[in-house]
Amino acid sequence: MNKNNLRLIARLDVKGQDLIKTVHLEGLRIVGDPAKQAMQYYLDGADEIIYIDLVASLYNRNNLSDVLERTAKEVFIPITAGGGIREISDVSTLLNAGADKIAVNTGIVRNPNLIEDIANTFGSQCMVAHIEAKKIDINKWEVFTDCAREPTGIDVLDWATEVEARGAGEILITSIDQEGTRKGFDIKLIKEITKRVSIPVICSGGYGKDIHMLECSLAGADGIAFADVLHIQKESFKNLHSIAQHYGLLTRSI
Amino acid sequence: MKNITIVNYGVGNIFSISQALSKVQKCKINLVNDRKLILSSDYLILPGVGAFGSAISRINELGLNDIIQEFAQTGKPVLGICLGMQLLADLSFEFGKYKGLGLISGNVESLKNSLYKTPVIGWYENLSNDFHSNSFAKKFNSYYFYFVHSFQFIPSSKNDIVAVYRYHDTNITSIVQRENIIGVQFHPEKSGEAGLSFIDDFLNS
Repeated sequence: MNKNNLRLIARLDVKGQDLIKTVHLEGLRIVGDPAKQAMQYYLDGADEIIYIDLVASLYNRNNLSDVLERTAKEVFIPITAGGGIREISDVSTLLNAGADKIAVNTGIVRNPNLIEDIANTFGSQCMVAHIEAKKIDINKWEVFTDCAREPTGIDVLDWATEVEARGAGEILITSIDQEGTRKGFDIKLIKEITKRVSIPVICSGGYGKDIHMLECSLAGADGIAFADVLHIQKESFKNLHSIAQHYGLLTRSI
Repeated sequence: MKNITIVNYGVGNIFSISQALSKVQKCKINLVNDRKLILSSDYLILPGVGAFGSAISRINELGLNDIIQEFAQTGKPVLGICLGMQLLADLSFEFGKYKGLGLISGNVESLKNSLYKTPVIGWYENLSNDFHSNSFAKKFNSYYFYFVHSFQFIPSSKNDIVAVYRYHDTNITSIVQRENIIGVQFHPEKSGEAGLSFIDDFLNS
């Protein structure tokens, strides 16, 4: 088991100015105002907030600045922003709006040097490599970009090793197969990744019930990103922390 | 109204620190590197993220080293956050060997250990040290704060350590203080209510 304290994270996928929910990263459904939700999750005991502008990559532009500015005034936990990041100036814009870390998927697949550029300019702690993974065979996953639309032919496990070597400070792994299903995380995938890298790994996609948290931690995850269960099922972070403690997992006590 | 300077040397989480300061108290915040303005402030905050080497070179290039030393001698409170805390040390061994500000003696060394992951990213329980005689920060025993770092400050004297946190089987310095100079490895501006309360107390120290 991972002896690091487990981080319980709220993931908010955003389209325009709306918080949305997807299944397999498809089928957008509007849930509410992202900044308001983030504020509520903060007060409720979230360890971090992740914002992903889901359509940014398609339009090559990230719209999160306004949401970030409103959030950063009231939310005093780490905020990660992602979606549509192509160059250093995109990173500066989001950091100036209140983000602490930047999650990049499509941008670093198209231009892997962007990882070094971001890490060297803003520090590794700022550079979160977001990997959208789709299972293609037993123990084999392919990297997808553009919000799970584009296959790349890149092997997820090789890519995880490469992003670490290039200076990423964390990996956010989204299982496209499990995302929005509430059927649990792709445990095999998490195990294979955490075996290969020594940077923290955040798992996203699939949480549905208590035991999934234990499975994810046993697989070596450092953080779990919750979405559907928060936005739709109205699960609280207070309860998520107590579930973690019930299993003997180390988390922040709130 | 309290007059606070956040040293602006182009490396740092200045935005969120300002937000947190404004949240806890009515204050005037200067984001400057100007000697006069710095010296006229009541509190000095030294932020920082990224690498030690580039941060200290930037500080030296801007002539800030002498100004920070001068401020420190006035006895007014100085707070170093994260890399800003490590900059208070004599020496850092982060990707080379660099001279720090030398305000609290000690070295900055790698956390790297094959047994566990670095960087450390997450919330850890701050544990106050009995050696430190008097610091407002002692009351933050058992508070959880948010840490992000790959290097650690090892003070020469354990008397300068106000608090540590446990990571696997080791103690990592969390808060250091020598007289009016205080440094925190965690990010109080990102540590929720515990962090805001720490900042509030610093502004009352």
